Amino acid sequence: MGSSISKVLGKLFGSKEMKILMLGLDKAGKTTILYKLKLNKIKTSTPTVGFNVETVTYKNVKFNMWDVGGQQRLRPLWRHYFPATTALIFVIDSSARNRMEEAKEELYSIIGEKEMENVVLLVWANKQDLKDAMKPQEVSDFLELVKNLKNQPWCVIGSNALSGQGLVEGLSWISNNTNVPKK
Amino acid sequence: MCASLNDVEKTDPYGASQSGYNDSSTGNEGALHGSRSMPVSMKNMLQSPTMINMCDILQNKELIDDEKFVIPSVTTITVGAGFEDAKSSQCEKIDQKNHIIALEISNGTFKGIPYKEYANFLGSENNHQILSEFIKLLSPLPLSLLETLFILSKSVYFIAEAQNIDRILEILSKEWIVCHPNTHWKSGYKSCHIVLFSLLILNSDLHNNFQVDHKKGKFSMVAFINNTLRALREESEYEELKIYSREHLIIEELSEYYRTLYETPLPLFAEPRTSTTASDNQSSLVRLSTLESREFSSSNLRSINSNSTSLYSRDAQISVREMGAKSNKNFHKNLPMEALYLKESFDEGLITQNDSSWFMDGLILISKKSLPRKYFKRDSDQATASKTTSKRSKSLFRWLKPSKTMTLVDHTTRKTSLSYLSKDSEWESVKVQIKEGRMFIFKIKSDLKELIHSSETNSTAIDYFKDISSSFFAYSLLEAEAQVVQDNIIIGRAMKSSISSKNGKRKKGNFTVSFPEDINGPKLVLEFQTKDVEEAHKFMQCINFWAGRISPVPLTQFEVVSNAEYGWSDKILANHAFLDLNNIIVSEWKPLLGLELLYEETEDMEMIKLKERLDKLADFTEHLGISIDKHNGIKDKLIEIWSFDDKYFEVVMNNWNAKYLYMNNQYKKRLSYLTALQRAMGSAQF
Repeated sequence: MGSSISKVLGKLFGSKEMKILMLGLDKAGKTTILYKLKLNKIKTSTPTVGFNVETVTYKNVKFNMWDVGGQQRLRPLWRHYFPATTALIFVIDSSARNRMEEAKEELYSIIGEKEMENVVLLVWANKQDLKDAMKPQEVSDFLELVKNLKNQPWCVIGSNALSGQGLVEGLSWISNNTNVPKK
Repeated sequence: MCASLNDVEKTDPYGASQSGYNDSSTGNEGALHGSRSMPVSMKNMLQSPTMINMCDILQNKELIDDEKFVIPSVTTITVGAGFEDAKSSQCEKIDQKNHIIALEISNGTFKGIPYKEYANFLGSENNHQILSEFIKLLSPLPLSLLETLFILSKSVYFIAEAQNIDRILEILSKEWIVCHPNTHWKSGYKSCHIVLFSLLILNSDLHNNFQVDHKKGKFSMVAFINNTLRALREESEYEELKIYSREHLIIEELSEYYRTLYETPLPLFAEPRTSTTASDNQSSLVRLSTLESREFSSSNLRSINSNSTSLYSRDAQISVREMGAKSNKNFHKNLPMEALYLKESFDEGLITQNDSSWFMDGLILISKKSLPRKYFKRDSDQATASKTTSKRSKSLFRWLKPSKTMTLVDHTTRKTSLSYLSKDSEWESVKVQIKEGRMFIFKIKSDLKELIHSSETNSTAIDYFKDISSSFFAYSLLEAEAQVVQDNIIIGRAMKSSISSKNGKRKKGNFTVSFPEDINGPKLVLEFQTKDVEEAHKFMQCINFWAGRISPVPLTQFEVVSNAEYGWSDKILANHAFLDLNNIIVSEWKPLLGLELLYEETEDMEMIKLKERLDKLADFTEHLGISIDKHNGIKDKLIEIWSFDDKYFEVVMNNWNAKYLYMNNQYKKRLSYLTALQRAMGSAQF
């Protein structure tokens, strides 16, 4: 299992050095995504007490996913990990319309940090399988990304962490857009 | 009644240090003293379970035994008294139940879920009461917040979701404040919560081997302190309670914690005291339990399959295309392979009905280029490799490579041509079966070939063919596509090779099956020859039917919303005259890789009803058709906009071409799926 994921990452990211941070409100589906990508199966070293920190190393690719969550008062603590982030993945429960505003605030509070100025942003509009799910376009409109993010590449991809729809596509998009050609 | 442990007068072994530590008048000195004393107590703690813990364990043991007997009597008393409010007795019962669960978790005997999920269980929103009970069991908490964390992580397997960790630490910090109301943290449980959480992050950071940025390295002490202070300062309580006035003590405390944690990682709760892996009753935590069961099911599967010598073993599917090989002669158990599709009621009769969209079985010819050349070598590899999966997958690659190099290097036949077009093509007779989303190819032992030719070739008994085959391949049809050569290439006069010498007039049919490039190998094309074109069409229909049925519609790819500029955004198309195009960064357009990359994870492939798939495909092809037209429509405009600069022009036109080709290929493939599905649905009874 593990080797296949490494292969996938190798295929996706080539020799790029990546630092990917995955964030999102609770119940957005972050952990399910980690499971679906089988990233949890890679780790061979003894597990460390605490968070689901998932790291996969394949050649020069270092894929690092933190399950970052918690109440408002804990959020400043994650800031330590913002510098040198290549890509930020923000997971949204597309079916939780009543929490969209909260998600939006959270997203901008992170992306507004100075260290995050140049990150590539991928939004996974997750739980597309649910009836009431907002489509990627709706999510994008709601988040007002066009208006607010002008200097960094961003993208909203519909995903379904259960079936895996959109997950590889998302990572693939990150890879395609991390070394943005100057011209 | 449940909090009996907590209510008992506590003997605080840290009382002595606490008084020194807490005394506000001694200030700095006191704090220093307190923190200096910490490593000593830490040392004690690490050597063996603390007395508290031992006591807890003992007490709990008794309690749990007691209460198991006590519960019925309590109930009878309540009922007997009659005056008791029914509701309150209900509450008490629930309280008691929560208490018992907390005790069981603390003892590692809770059977509801695997012990590794205890922390997630405790931290779940719905289990707030159990969590509170559990934390009370850890009381009295030591003065040091870090030590408090040590105690927690020794009591429960403490790897969990951040959200759940958050809840656990919040309750823990509240309990800590109750135990130690007179420290410089005052009543600020929120601040303690931040410190506990920060310490846990630090632990992961220092001791988890995941650091990406080597230059930056792990958390430095200064960074840790600054990071924690920043979070503290943002917490209003920090100011309201004037905790900040003692910030120098906090800095001192944090640096001490850092030093200790640097040397000694938080211990991971190792083994449950009794085995809890057998989860008889599923927990109420549906989501977690699905994750768990998923893990279990796959590992169970693996163990079952590795024990069996079945051809259908999961090991055989290690390679992406499931080129399961005849791994062992003495397999007789016919374990079912994992289903690739959602079986519906109408499938029952159809999947064994030969010559249909559901099932094809026959003895046809395969181009030798498609097959491995050295069977014997491979067979011997297989014999040794069957013990370990890794070796096997290597041997499978070895099998793949010759055919790949052949097509690339072999210039004697036209490079892109099909064997069909070449007079010199060699064909080999194989048994091919298309069944339930897979294609099976049996290479029949040469000495038995004649026998097969003369006898019943329709036999669908796979076992029989397994026995008489020297090699056996199974391909999943995910994203595969079959084409009949004669549909594309019309040759006025039949070539020699395509005329059956025996049957005289009937024109042979040819079809190809292409499997897309995937993680384990390049695109693979297999070529077949059938007795006539009609049979080739039947194979194509069946293959495309299954491929269409099991392959997800790549909607995601087309629904992506992004600001990446490929040269044709609305902004550019509408306002190019007013934009400074020289300042625009044009990205390279590439199709996004899809789920087929994760193909090995067939166990949780999306499976939907045939009708639903058909509808989705119909929608998708229709939209794709429109998109292609639209894409075509912008070409002239793009040329006009971008021709001012060669470099831009090249990038944009490459993008345009790449997207066009991608969409076209998708369109072609999905349309052939759609046609096959529609035809099948039209022919069958529903």
